[in-house]
Amino acid sequence: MNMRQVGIEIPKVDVLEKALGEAKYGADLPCQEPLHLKVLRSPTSHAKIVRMQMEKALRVSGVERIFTAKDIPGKNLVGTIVKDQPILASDRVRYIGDAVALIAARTEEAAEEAAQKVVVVYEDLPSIIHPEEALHPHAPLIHEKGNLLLEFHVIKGDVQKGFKEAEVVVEETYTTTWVDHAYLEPDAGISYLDEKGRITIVCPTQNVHYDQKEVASVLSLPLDQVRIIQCSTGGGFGGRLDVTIQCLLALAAFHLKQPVRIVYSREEVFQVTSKRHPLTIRYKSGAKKDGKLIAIEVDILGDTGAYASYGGTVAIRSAVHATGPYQVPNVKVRSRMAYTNNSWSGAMRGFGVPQMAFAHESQMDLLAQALKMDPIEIRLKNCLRVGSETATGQTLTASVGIGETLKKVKEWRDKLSLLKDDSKKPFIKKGVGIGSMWYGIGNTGIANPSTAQMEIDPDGEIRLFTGVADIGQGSDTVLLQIASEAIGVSLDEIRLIRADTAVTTDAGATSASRQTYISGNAILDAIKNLKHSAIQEASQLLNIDENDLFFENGKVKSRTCLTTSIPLREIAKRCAKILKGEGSFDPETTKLDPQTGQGVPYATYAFATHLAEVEVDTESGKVSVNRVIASHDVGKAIHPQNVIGQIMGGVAMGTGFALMEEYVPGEKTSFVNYLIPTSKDVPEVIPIVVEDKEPTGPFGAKGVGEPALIPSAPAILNAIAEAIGQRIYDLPANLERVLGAVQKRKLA
Amino acid sequence: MITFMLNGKEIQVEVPPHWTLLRLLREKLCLTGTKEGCGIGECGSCTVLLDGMPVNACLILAPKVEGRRVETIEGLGSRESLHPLQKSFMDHGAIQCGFCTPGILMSSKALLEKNSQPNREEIKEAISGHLCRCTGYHQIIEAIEALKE
Amino acid sequence: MIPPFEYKIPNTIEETCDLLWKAKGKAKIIAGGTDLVIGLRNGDQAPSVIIDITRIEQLRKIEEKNSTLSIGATVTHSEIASSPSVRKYGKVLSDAASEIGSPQIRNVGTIGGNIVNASPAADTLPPLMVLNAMGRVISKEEERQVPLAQLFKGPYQTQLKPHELLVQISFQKLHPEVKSSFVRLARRDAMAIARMNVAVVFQVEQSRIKDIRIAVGSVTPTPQRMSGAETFLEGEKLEEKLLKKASLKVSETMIRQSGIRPSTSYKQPVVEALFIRAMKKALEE
Repeated sequence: MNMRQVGIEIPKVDVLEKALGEAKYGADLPCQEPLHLKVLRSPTSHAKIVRMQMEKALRVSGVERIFTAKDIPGKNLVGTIVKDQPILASDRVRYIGDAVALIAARTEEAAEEAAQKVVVVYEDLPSIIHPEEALHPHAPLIHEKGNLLLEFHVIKGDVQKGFKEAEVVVEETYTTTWVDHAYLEPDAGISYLDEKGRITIVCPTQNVHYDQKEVASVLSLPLDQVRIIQCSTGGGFGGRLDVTIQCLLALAAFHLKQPVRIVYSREEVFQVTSKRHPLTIRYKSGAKKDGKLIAIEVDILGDTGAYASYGGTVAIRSAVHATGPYQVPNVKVRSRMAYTNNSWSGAMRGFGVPQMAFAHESQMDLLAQALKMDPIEIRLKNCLRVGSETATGQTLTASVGIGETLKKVKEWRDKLSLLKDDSKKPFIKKGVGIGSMWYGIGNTGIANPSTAQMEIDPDGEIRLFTGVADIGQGSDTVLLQIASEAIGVSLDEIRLIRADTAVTTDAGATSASRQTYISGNAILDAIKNLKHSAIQEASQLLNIDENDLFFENGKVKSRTCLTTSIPLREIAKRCAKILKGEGSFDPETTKLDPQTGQGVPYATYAFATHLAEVEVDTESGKVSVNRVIASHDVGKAIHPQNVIGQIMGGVAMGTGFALMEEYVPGEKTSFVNYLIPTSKDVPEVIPIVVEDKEPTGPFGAKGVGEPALIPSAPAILNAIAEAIGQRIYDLPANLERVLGAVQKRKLA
Repeated sequence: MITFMLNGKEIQVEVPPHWTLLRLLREKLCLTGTKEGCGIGECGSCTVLLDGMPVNACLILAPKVEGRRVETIEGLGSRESLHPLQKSFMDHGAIQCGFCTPGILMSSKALLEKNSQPNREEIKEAISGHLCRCTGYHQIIEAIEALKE
Repeated sequence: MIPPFEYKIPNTIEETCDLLWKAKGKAKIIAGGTDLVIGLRNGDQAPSVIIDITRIEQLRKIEEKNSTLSIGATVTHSEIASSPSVRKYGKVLSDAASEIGSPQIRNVGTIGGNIVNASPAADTLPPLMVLNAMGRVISKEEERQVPLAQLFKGPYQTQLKPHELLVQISFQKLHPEVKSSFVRLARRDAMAIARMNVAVVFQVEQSRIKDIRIAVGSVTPTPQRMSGAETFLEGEKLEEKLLKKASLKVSETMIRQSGIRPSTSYKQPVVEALFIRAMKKALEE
């Protein structure tokens, strides 16, 4: 098929206003004399609230009202799956940063002053810092139902038998730590009653329809009394999947009946938004002499912190992805997620898979080393292909590009003149490492539908309605490309109406790399239906049998009379009504068996392999990543420049995850001590796009948002291991750990 | 009352001395194109040009701009006449979420005014005071590089 | 949010000294403001008066007088990094200035501010120590010259009295044959506080080391001259083994000053390596 809108290089539709500085992010939104909101937060990680005294704070000039848990008319608990997080703590705080009161004042200064004058008397409770400690039978309970949020297993074949047959076995324990999303825009937004009296919230978010449900529940309002509008959103990476400021804004606007505004400081964002889950992964792998994997046994323990958020999702997804993109006949995975009094963990780009990839890719290199095999060869030998069965028993039927990504990286490696150590700088050691990954597109084994509408009105305007939140990755553009390709008009002929609960329907979250695949398909479905109704109308207008009509390039044409054709706009005009197509899509998955994890968790998977070249300063532990070859099977690149943008950004974030990013609750407070890579820290990247088309994807597309990040850290850690002859098992590979590994090697 | 040149026009404005230039621009002058990402000079989102030099507007107290020249994203180009850097950023995929974009554009302008032939290292250095979480900087560097004369 | 204060913009040093005297310790000087404004924002600093000294022309000059190079307190890091005379006569300082923070910070942050902020990790301090820099301090009471090495009391603390103003830093120009270098280690390659920074200045005469000065930052409460290592090396023949031994003296001094801490196992070998690296870099340049 010759495509006009898909696979082309065009600027994204939102970049003009962003380049001009006109795009309105949360803190830029115009608002008529709003009251300013400020949250009072817990300074302690676990305590009972004995009492609160507001008198002094209320006397601060300009203070309008101070809200506490008592002011919440509905359910004071939110959470994407398990609802256990209060908007304002009523009797107990569970981490440093838990919200206890919300101040509304005429100026930000007054709100701040009042926050300092609220007296809260706490009675400290024992804090749990480690998840192992949390699961101890006599551990104090953080939530009444117990400290184990979720336990999940994936069991296939017979692991004991597998290890007996194994000729080489490696077993190691890997740990990862908290990572902050570090989206550049601190959370901020406004709330007001719109012309219909609805509580309206305008803010950055990854899912307007989820926000709407939470706000309605907290305020005990019907859904249609709450409206969420997404403003320009300065990044997300999973951090804006949970509600951040939405319910706070709504609560104040609900009671005060006047516009309110909140702007988080960067320090507040660090303290109170979700983090990547720290995982401890004990991983045992067995292989035959020829390198074939025969068994893995994996135990995963995660720290969800004070609240559930996406903890269960991460426990399940990390278990499902534990094998990596390889065929393993015998698999036993146990994955547990525990509550602690640490910062709460949530969704972050990859949902546990980046942590797992660090473990399974380290294991692959250890096996290769034990078997004296080439790291790419051992991966090629084991990688999934069409017809393979995954650990959950799913047979892959198409679009399994892992082998191709490996081959592409191998071609590069073989033609690179690999860097030799520089005799002038004997303390610099160079190394090359490989990291591969697979990633299931969409939610795991549960429904995750999207809906969309496409319509044309008698005036000729063509409109696409989608609830999808573009957070900078470019979904607005990609979805418009899909729509314009399918309907046969140019991109700028379609007006996009997006991410506003009052006018769009639920498209699900911008997460799990799902929007191109799932919402793209929902749009195709809407267009199919629009075409159908256009043909029906045309049939009447032209007095031609429906079966003789077909749709092509924005026109309804006759199969038999080649000169008969009527443009879509003409049909709408002549029948004087809006032609509309409703669409939906829900990928074909099955629920996973609660005991064995068997089933079809995803309809399709993305695959990738990275090669990293590093230099290690063995005297200081400083690692520089010089170059990354990043090979990605995306199915089909709808917008190649966007795909490359995702890869480049993913490599940078992966470099940070590998080398420097390390959030510590109560210690890391801002960009001074939480470091992410700058322009001088990122490697040169050579992106390779592999297009192994997914038959169920829109024009063959899958997804790339999270896959872009996942293989970088494993590749970098494998490269460090090669450079210094000693492996690092804990992320990040910071100065101290790398130097420690160098010293360990010297002793050995 | 302070007087300064803002995007080529002289303005006079009443502002308390404890306001930063960033607050003055955003809250009083309604120029919200300059962003606050951290408030402590560690992210570069609030970068404006002061007498042609990139500075973090969050660290400049308002009285400091008296008699000086301030340039913000709003003065860089317009819909009708985009600055070549704006066009190049759009064309090269250098803008994802866009929050860091105004600041980086200002640093890029200062770089090209000083050095019309920057090499990659010089470009990386010029934007090293900016955090970007989306792009990994590559398409930004390419967009600037494309404007070498 | 920054709380209100009075803002004064004196045009002369005398005026500034008057203001400082009258403020009775409640004033803070602002130059670039890259440290002070952060302190105001997070509440660490709450002066009732802020005195902006960046309009005082005298403080903005880099001057050569005979064998001395003087740098005004409000000269920015960018100006130092690009100043031909600093690059010629005190390259160890201009190199350090070019690596501070970010371009935006270097464009406004000043050398005087870097000194009086007295961060243990400040990048200009080890170079200034090895340059034997003197600070010129003026107040309503007196004018004095202080060796920079004596200015620091502890982390973020100086010996300066509240009404004193640091106006200038000066040092003897380094002759072309003098070797010097600055070496810095941080967790990332831009916008990062130094994990360690080392400055060395020395001469080599008939392959013997002469007039060696070594200073290390970020590993002791205040930047330190490593006098043990200096004495050890003075007059000795420059060779690899000797440097290795001298590096042990450097780490000994560090441990003596800071005690054994959890970070010592990392810092000890690294400070030794960076010292040797700084020596070699100086010889190569």
